[in-house]
Amino acid sequence: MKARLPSSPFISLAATPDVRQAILTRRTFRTFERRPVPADLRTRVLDAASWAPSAEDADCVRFVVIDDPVLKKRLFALTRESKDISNHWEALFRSSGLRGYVQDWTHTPLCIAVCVDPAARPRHIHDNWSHRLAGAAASQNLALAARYHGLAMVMYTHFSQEKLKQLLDVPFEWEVDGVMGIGFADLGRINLASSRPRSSAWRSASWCRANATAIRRRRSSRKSASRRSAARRWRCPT
Amino acid sequence: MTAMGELVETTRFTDAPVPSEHVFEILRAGQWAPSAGNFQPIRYVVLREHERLAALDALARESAAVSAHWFPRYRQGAIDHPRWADVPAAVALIADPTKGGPHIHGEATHVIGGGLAAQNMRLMAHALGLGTSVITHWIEEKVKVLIECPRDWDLVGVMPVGTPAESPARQRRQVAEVVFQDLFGRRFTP
Repeated sequence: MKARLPSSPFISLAATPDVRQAILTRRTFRTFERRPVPADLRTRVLDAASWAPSAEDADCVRFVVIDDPVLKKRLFALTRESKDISNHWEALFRSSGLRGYVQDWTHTPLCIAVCVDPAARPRHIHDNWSHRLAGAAASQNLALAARYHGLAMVMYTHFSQEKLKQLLDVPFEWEVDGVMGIGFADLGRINLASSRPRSSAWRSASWCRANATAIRRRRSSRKSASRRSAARRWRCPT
Repeated sequence: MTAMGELVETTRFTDAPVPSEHVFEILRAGQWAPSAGNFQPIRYVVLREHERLAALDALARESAAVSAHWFPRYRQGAIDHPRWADVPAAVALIADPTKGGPHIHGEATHVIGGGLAAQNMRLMAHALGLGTSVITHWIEEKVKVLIECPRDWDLVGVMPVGTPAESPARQRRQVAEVVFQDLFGRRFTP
């Protein structure tokens, strides 16, 4: 089945369809079906994550798969606690606030913490983000591989860093980029009305002016996409 | 998804030009990457003019010369940079720190957004037969001046885009070596 892509005169058939489809149709889900992620799919998404690039192949990313129900429960409590701490400064994180939701890790089939080692990054000036970028590349590989295999993912970074490291027994010098929740999307609970259209992120290049019509068309097509058709797109076999 | 295994960080390119529609596709792939709270903190500056790329090349050499003060391997020059003056196009990724997560441990979320976008862009470039990489080795302020980036924004990196002149084989650790079960260091059983 063909996936519907945002309309653009520049859609090229030269790209390998699976990567294109995964990139353009991936979206974040926070609620998942209760069924577990099959073992072969677990292996495949982790395999994809392990292939992520890093500066000079620095080998600075490790993954902790959290299956223990007790650990998941403690992670859930830590997530709430972290939001409560942030609430001290930003009211939007209180339970009833705009960003007050807390990921229920006890009902998230596959939880993967992405850990990065700052000491492994190649040293040079302005190298302070290199290990973070490697972790992000691994996270995005996880998200795309999940999408490719019909799964969905949420990336969660809002944690009290020290307590999360303590919980997962991560070495003191390491950092945790975030915890990824993966599972089969619960399509009955998605709220497409809340998705925000992408901003026009590129600046003042001349081709931007040349492509103004394409950008307008893409925006209007996204606005008119109904909830039902979006759910159908998501179900497309990849 | 085999693309993920084949992906290499490309810094050597042929002279073949990159069509505008391919640059468009790569940028769109970046734009569809997730970000904390969907705040979309990343902006992209496309560099195609020769003068600007030549200025970037000079900056790369200057950056390596500064790094060489502490790290001797850069005495050989900008070894981790492409020849910027010759690349067909480059894209600078800049991140707005006010659009990261306004929460504890949110100091890096806008840059992580850049890392997620960069991976989408790498994969899309690969799918189009092109290559790219994220170069972070810069005197940040000077690149920001070159592209007229706001002072308080962060430079994530600059990505050269072109047709790869080489395709070195990739090596990586086994999955069992990088994945742990429940606690860091505990053996993973799939």
